Amino acid sequence: MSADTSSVPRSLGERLWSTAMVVLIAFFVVNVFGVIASVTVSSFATRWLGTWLPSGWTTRWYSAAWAEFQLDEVLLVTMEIVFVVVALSIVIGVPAAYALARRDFPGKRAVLLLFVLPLLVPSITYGIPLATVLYQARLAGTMNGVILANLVPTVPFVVLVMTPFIEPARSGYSGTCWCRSSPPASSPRRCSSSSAPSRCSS
Amino acid sequence: MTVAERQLDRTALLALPGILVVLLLFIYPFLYGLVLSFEPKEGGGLANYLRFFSQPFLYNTIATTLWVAIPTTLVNVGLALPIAFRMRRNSAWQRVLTTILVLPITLGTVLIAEGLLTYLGPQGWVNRLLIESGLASSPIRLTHNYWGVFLALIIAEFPFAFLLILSYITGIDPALPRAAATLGAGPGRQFLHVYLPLLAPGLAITFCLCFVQAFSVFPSAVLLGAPAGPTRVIAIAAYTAAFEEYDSSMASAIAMIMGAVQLIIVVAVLALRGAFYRGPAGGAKG
Repeated sequence: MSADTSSVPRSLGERLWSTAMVVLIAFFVVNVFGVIASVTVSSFATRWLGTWLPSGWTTRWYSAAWAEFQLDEVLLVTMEIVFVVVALSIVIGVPAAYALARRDFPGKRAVLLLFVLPLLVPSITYGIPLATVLYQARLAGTMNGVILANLVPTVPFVVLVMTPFIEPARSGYSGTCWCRSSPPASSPRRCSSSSAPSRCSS
Repeated sequence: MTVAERQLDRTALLALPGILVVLLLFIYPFLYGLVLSFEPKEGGGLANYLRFFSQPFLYNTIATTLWVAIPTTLVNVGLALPIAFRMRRNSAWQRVLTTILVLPITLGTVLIAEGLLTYLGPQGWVNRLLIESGLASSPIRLTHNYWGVFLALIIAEFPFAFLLILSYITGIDPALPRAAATLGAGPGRQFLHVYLPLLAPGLAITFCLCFVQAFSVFPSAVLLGAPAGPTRVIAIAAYTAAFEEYDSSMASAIAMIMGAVQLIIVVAVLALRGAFYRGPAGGAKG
């Protein structure tokens, strides 16, 4: 790919454009690091007013926050919820993405629409009715309720992100599995695992 | 029914758990909310909607939200497209940049908002740099106003737009632009005549997803904006009704109005997409 495009002579305009893009990326990245560094420095600062760097360093904000909000417990609960939500979204979302990428079935467009809708509706729009329903099911305020609420955007997100990654891998590999009469349930794992789940983490 | 046909059906069944999740946790609550919004605390069935559209304090939030959401989405998609195109080749730079850009997404809106408050604030590094280099005589106000929310949405949504567009670009069969290159098309013409038409559906989806996120902006509008005035977005109005006034019927009504306004924009964008050529991103043959 790089070999045959570089053989096309590049004009000054194209080179300027290309440089402008690099400058733009650098500007964005510098600012992202600036923002992250600001909050990090500020969190370790004793007093920070009118200077480039704070006058002294301390970790007492962390110990204070830790003690006041019982952060160890909060973090543990957060991690548990995150882990369950991610695991469930992948287990539910990836097979759906596989089915949508590889098969045509009646009502496929309706199913696609169903997965796009939760991402196209703002979280507050479905969040307020969902909270009401969860209250009535006595799930609100429990860990299960939080996990269920978090699945609403994550499952469709996994489906939509994974589908284009599975689609172009269509050509040879799955067909080979197919010929060797491997059941379809195992073919997403064996054939697509090299191309798909490595991108799952993103 | 042959064996092959039965197998096809079974593969399609893999989508079933996902469909159930969306039906139970999204469609049902949504319909419930719709019904609830027509059962106000007092007054007739339409009382909530009449109240929303008769009070400027409430109906102005629509314009405020659009005024935040549309420009930021245009900037984000407009910047992400050429940058993702520049980064389309699978190089070390692409991996480094992807990793860096995932940072703001993983760190979360609250940390980014807090960081921006310090970074852009009157004592922050940006203003110090502007003053010491002589570009500004007094600190420029970038937080607790429109620009705070605007910049927060750029930092938060640009990586999202970039990663989505990059995944669409890398999904395009590289044989297609290569074929164009053998006919003498430079990167610019390859982009206009090969990539852009194939990317149109992906771009429309990216625009919609970014717009939705910006439209429901809440944490940064409260932390970085002026939630009482210029950045009192519609999400704040809905939140106030639900969790400060405990009027879940009114809150549902605002939520439905929010969804409707947004649906109009999304449908318009998706309709525009039809103006471009649509084809399979992976190329005609596998």
